[in-house]
Amino acid sequence: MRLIKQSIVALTALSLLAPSLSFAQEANTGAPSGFCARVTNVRSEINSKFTDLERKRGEKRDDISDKLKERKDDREDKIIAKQQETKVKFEDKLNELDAEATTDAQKAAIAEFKASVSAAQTVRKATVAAAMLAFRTARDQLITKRQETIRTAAVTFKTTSQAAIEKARVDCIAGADQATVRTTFLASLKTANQKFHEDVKAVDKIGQDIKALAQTRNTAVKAASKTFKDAVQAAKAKLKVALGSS
Amino acid sequence: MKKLLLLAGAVVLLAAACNSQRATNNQPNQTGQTAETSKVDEAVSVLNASVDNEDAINLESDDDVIYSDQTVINGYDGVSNATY
Repeated sequence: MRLIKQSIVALTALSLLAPSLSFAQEANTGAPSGFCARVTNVRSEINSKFTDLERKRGEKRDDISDKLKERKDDREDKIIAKQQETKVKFEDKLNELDAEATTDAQKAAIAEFKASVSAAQTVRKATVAAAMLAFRTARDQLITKRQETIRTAAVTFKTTSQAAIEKARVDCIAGADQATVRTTFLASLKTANQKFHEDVKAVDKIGQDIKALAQTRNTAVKAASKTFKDAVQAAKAKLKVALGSS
Repeated sequence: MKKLLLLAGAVVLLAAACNSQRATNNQPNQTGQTAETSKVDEAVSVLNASVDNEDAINLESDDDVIYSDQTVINGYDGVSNATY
């Protein structure tokens, strides 16, 4: 009977002391208490963060595509409006000239000037359109490549992070020291994040390729405009001679 | 008869004035320009200005849009920066 009483007292004391001992162990390692108790929640939190990031990445990808299209349409509208405005102004000037022309030779010279300008405009328009199309097509392919690079890096990051939290969960079940489990898990996450940034660095080269494409486009567009201006200048000189002044 | 002569004189003077005006218009100014050739320059200026304006629009950069996903990339740091 006495032995039973002593056993009950000892077990009671042990049950009261056990949590304190456990807490003391965690306090000594500096880890917050209950990492293993929270490991399932941590796993959910990480999954939730990746889901949210994937959603934002998808939205941003669509947003980029929409904005680029919107800008392209807006610029084309502006250019068409400007071309129409220019056409009206230019024709007004030529009509004034035509009205003041006193000889058939002058009228013919004005008509020839108008035809030369129109031909130069057609050439320039086609050259610029081709340069813009080539640029946009190649650029859009590079943008897709950039976004795919980021997506692949993100998938690797997610997979590695999920593996890390799964390992932590298994280690917790196996009774490993939870402070060590947590430290290992955090280190794995940090390494996975560094790898993500290294993988994403590959997009820098894509950025350089986009810059080179823009340079090629700029050169082609400027060259087309110079060719146009030179042609108009030559036609103008010819017309001035016909109108009686150099 | 006198009135008729006066009228004929007035017509002759008017015709002379008109011819003189036309000659002035076709006369090169100090820069060697006639009114017609000035109009040619103006017409060409309209064309060139339009081309410059068009080029400026075509060559506008879209970098701010293309690289706007950098905020999403940075967002991934939030996974490893949390306390857990």
